[in-house]
Amino acid sequence: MQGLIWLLEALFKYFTTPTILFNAAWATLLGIIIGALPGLTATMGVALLTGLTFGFPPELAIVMLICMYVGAIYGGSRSAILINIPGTPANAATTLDGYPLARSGQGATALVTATTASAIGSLIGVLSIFTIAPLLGQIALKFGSWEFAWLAIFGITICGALTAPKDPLKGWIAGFLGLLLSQVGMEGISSYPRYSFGRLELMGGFSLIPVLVGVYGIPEILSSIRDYGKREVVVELKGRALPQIPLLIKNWWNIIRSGIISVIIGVIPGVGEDVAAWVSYDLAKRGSKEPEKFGKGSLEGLIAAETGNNACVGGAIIPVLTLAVPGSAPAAVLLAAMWLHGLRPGPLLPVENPKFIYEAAAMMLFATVIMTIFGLSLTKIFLRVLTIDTAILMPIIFILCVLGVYAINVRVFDIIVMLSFGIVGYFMRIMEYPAAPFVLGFILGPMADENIRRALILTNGNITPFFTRPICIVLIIATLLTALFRYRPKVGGA
Amino acid sequence: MRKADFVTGIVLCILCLFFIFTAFKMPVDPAYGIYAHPGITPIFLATVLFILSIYLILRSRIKLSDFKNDIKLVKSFFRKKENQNLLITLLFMLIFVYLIRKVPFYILTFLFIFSFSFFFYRKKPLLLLIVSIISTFVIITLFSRLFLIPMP
Repeated sequence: MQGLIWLLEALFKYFTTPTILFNAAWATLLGIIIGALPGLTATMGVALLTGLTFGFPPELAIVMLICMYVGAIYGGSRSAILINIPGTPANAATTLDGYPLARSGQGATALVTATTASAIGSLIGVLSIFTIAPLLGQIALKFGSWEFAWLAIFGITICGALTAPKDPLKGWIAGFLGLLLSQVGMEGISSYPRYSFGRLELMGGFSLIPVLVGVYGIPEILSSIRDYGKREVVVELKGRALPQIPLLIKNWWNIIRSGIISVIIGVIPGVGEDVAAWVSYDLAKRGSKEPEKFGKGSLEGLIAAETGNNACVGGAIIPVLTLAVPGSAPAAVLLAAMWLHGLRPGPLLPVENPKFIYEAAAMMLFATVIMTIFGLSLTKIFLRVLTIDTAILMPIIFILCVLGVYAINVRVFDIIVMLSFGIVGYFMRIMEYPAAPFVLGFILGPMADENIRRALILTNGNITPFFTRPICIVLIIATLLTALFRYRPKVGGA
Repeated sequence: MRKADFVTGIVLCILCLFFIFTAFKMPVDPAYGIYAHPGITPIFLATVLFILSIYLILRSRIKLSDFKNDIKLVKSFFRKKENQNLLITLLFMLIFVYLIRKVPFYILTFLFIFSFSFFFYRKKPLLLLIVSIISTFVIITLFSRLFLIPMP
């Protein structure tokens, strides 16, 4: 009950404080535009906004970042429906039915249905933060150094397997490479500058935001220009432009199933919205009475994908709050932003600042309301934005990346890091190494390092607790099951 | 893809060996003892990555003789329009980053946006000029005046 009061208090505050309302409104709008533009992802949007809101009060900055996150995941559906290119990877499943619907003259219906499904998905996400986060927080309090060390390994294993389903080996390589590269710089116990070779810039390690913008943003710019001139925009909008309540009632089970499964996927470290959307879509197709319509313009498929990706946002925020482990790539940036603003998400949050969990749920609810209002009212403006030529848009986006990265530490070195990781990220993409486990490795690396060594110090070098503590056993079994069941040997692969 | 996997595996193995050997040279802090050795985690992680990379190499089943005719492939790579676009974009980016703090940022931003868009768009230079000026002005004003972020 106290939690509900905190949530309503926070919500009332956000709606009645003009500064928060104004900033959240433009952050959501920017999020929808960024999500809608092929070449800009939710991760990049949150990362760019982290730089911009660096000087803002922490609460306002986090509200804006959540608005950006929710807006961008939703915004990706605009381009998925209108130009058959998912604005963010989370909307890839949306293209399958959204674009055929737009081409068959039901563009407006598809856009409005996607907006409604996204809003309902976000509400399921809010509900999950409200109910699951405090429970997970209680479990997280039982985590010691041994459990956190295993959590990092488990996170990489499952994230690698789920984000590279065709070849999990590449997912695991990406994850361990991220973990390894995160070891550069001063370590957390005796402050020894590892792999810095006396260079001052390297002593601080690679900052997370430049790495994230590099790995996600630069490959998008490079790919967009490489494929320049290949996209087709549906410029005429036909169909019903109001939410169809009977359609939603007809799809009630589809919506609930997609929401629940996506929240669960969101909680799994690093997996994220794209996998949630695909799994929701797949389950909807299997459970449908008209599976033959899927891929040819099925509103059922569209609803499943859009409910799924937005519900996953709430799920992905849960481990950020309770374990300081991100559930998706944009949530990773959100976590970094929380650290930058002096907030301390993690197992102690429910003890030190229990109100914050409910405030986060209120932030997401607030963002959902704004997103829905903009989504239903500004469809034609988004269509205009999508017609901007890539050759004009991409250099501007690159400049925004440069300044967003530079703003964090005011160092040119970070721009060089961004570009270098961008080139690495592009090669990873063309060679089918997923970026998500790499980024997750970067986040979890310092946590794994400190906890492995702290555990060894505590037990004077005895490694038995790593294998005998109850939560460790659960994590070991989960890791082994993931590795054994997901991996299919691909000898002499294509 | 098999050849790419083979080469990636080799590069990763070299990287892992570098991380492992450097980690062994790291000093032990007497205040914390051997179990706080800064190299423990990098050695563990690099070893796991090394094993995965070796498996990647073995799985690719490539022999060195398979690389004989790859000069032709490299030549055809450069002839493709898509790859030319890619390399030129990368060149634009590298030049931009190199010139940061060597050229005033607002001039550099304007030149970058204009030259980049003109190179690929190849139409309406006057429109591109206006877009470049306006976007440079908006970006610089937004970051330096509104968000109070110093320009590079």
